[in-house]
Amino acid sequence: MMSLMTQKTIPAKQPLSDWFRRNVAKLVVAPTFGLIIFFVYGFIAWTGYVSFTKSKMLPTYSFEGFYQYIRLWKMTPWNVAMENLLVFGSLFILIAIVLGCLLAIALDQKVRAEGVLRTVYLYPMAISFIITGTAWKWILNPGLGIQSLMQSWGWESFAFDWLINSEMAVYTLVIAAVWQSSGFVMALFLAALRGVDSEIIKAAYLDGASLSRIYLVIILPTLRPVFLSCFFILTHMAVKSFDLVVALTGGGPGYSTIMPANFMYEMTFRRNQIGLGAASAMMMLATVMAIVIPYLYSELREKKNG
Amino acid sequence: MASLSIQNVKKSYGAIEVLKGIDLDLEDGEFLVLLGPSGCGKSTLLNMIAGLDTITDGEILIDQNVVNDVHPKDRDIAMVFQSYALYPNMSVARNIGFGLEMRKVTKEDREKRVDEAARMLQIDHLSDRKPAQLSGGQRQRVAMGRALVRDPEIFLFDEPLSNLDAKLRVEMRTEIKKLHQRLGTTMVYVTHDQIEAMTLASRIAILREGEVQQFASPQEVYEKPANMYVAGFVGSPPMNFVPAAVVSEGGKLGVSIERTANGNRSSVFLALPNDRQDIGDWVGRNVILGIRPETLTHRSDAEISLNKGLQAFDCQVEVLEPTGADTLTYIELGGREVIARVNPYNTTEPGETMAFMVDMGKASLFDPKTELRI
Repeated sequence: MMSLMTQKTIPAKQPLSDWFRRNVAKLVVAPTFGLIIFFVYGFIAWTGYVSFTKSKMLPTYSFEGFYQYIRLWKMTPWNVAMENLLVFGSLFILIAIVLGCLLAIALDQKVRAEGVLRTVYLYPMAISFIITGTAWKWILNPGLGIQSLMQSWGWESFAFDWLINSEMAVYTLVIAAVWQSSGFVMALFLAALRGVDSEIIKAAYLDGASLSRIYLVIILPTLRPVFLSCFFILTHMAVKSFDLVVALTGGGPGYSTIMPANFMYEMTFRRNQIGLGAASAMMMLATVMAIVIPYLYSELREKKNG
Repeated sequence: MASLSIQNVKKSYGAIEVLKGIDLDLEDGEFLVLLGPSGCGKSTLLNMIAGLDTITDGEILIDQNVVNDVHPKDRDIAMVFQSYALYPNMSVARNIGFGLEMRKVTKEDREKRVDEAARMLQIDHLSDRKPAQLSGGQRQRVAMGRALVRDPEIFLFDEPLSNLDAKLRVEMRTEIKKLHQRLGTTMVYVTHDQIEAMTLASRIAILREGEVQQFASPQEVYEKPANMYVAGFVGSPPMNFVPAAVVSEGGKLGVSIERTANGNRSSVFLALPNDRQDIGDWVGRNVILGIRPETLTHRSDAEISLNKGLQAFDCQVEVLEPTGADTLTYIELGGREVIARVNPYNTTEPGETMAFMVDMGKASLFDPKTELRI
């Protein structure tokens, strides 16, 4: 009844411009929406389909079930890549968050040169992973970097050869990635710490809590959303890390430091195994999904309750 | 419970002097209100009592002990903040009990005391809620509970009601007053609201630019303001200031004021009560006459015959502002706009002349140069 009444009151003149005014928001969003549907979700679907075929150099479209996935999980390099992702990912995320958080707390203590320090810590984020990788390759190179420097200063027995040690090389990735990202994590935490009401800290002081207690029990729990944001940003960086490996270790020694993304690139574009590459890409997507979906679920549920 | 003594306390940030030597002495169980506009240093002084701000010079004593270098948690004080400063991730009960938790009070004892405080403030049904789920008034109660449960020597309040709406503010004001009457603990309360100051305080300290203007009971601050600043700050509507000349007429001392009545501009003589003979040497000089709006009203001969201080005069009415109980009547005296509180049934139309009387016994005189009370 109501809708009938309102329809009557709208004059029938200029129907086109009326339609335009009502739909202007949709029109503005439509091109990007279309592009995302095609290039992101369309290609995900295509990759998903190809992963179920025996595609080699060129895609074929005859359905072959889980053939490529079974092949994939039988390959040692893929298992090494997944192990590396687990080690690298967990260490990188943990260390970057802890370090970034500590840096932010330190800078929040009304440090005099805060502006300068903040920029210093944040700058690595402005550099691409290729540069980071190359720079750290030189720093960690036993013949050029820290080891040779320490030895030239007279500490002859000093050894720091992780980069060429197939057991330890994956940790050099962690060092470089933490160096690059912890400043960014710091910036996120610092912004959140600035939003904490200073009267809360005063009140906790009067209540007799020590500074470490104030941060641990009162302030950090309120920063839960920041922890989550950092966790998800760093997770996706870890899963898709490709350029850092290329620049720092080249996947070596041997294939001891390859990551799933490197594996995928190698199979798809170098060894003419499109089907296998697609299957590894789908496994990476599944890894991200496994982390993001529970998060989205809990967030949306919270909103419904709140 | 404890006495509080602030001795020549100064505070400066670099070259800027925020507090210029504050002296206040508070006895056990008193309710001190620090009253002043924003930026007068009242919150800084409170933070210094709490130990959250360093003291540049001077001493603060709690129970005769200098506490300048005592850590806030060891001063046995509790503070209620303007933003309530509740811990957002903790339940109401834990918020209240956190101070006890930090002081290693046993769980049983803690629960008992938290329960007691919550019941006293009527928030015991909210124990499990988080601060975000509470209304402003409830948060305020939790903040008070947190201070209450510690049973401190001194309570500090930093503009605790300024984030509440008008109705709730009046309610909570009464609540704080009741709390003080029940506990009898020494309290220091910072506000810029003169009504809060008047209703709560046993003594008010009015601060202006880091200096105490007057330190006295609310009644004294109201009736005998130390200077024109205090007189103008306390009272709503504020005290009227009228330029006047001290004259002696017919053997009586009084003031002469210019005003318009029945279309003519002329001077009127208002005699001062006999106990104001101390201003004899001011004869022939100009002063500022301070009149509270409620002491200036419509003429009533019956009252004049009873009270010798009442002086009558005529004056033209400019504007009427009815408030219900009284009508604020604007007149012009000595070139200044003056407000009189008149019974709504005795008002005259604007532009007409009306008969007024003023209680000179309650009037204040100020030196126009120093602005100090004479």
